Amino acid sequence: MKWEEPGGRGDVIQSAFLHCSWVGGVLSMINYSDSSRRKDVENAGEAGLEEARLRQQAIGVKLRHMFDEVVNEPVPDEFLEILKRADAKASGGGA
Amino acid sequence: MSTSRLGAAPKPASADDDGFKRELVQLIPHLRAFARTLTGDPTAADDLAQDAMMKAWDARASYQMGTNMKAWTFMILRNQFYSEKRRSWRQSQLDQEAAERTLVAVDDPEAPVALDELRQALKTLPEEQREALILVGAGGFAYEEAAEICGCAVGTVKSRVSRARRALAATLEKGGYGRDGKAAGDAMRSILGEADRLAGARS
Repeated sequence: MKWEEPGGRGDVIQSAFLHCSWVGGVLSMINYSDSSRRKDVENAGEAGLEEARLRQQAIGVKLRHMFDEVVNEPVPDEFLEILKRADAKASGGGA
Repeated sequence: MSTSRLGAAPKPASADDDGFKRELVQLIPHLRAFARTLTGDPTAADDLAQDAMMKAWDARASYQMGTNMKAWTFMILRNQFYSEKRRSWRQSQLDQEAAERTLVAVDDPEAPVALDELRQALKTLPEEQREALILVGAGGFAYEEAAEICGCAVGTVKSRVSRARRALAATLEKGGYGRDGKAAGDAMRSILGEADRLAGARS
């Protein structure tokens, strides 16, 4: 999908593109080929969107999986011990 | 450490404290997971999660039971992370290096390759985009909650998440950190395949 070509052909491509759309415009005045072509473009766009949506979905699944892996690890005893000590202190039982 | 100068009598152990403690204990796994994504290093992450847990415990009087305790503790953890980071950026550099070593050290042949690639790609995101994406995309927070945790506007979180998603897809698509000389786009392909496998395993 590279539009930049060496040798300044970008201008040529652009003018060719402008010419095409102008011709397309004229054609669409004559018949409906332009609208059917537009439908093709729309379909291609939808396919692209669907593809992007699938990718985002896949990334989302992986992201949750990565996070949940840690969530599902057993909690080290240290956590509960620290909390227990603090709780004992709060209730006045601690030394 | 710091003794209260106000001399407020310690709160008697009440039913409130018990309820608070029970809820807090249930949140520990989530705090650990969030800390892991922030620090990238399991040991530093557990230190951070413990600090946050104790900060939450000490501040329990200011917590209103029945409100979102998960969001509240995540906010405490996040603030703790950034204030520590500001205090000693040098240490955080070391943590970063440790994190990189840890990430590279995962060499279990059974481990899905895609996870690693996702972790690598996550590291390329700006911090604020990464945390927004983790909170919304993995932590299960609504945009509004994530905004509260990060102390920013809801619109800001939304745009950070969407930018993060786009950047992540682009990075994975590009596969710019080539592992084992794999062709570009393989990272995304393996993630797509892995996601299918996980979805299949779950249902």
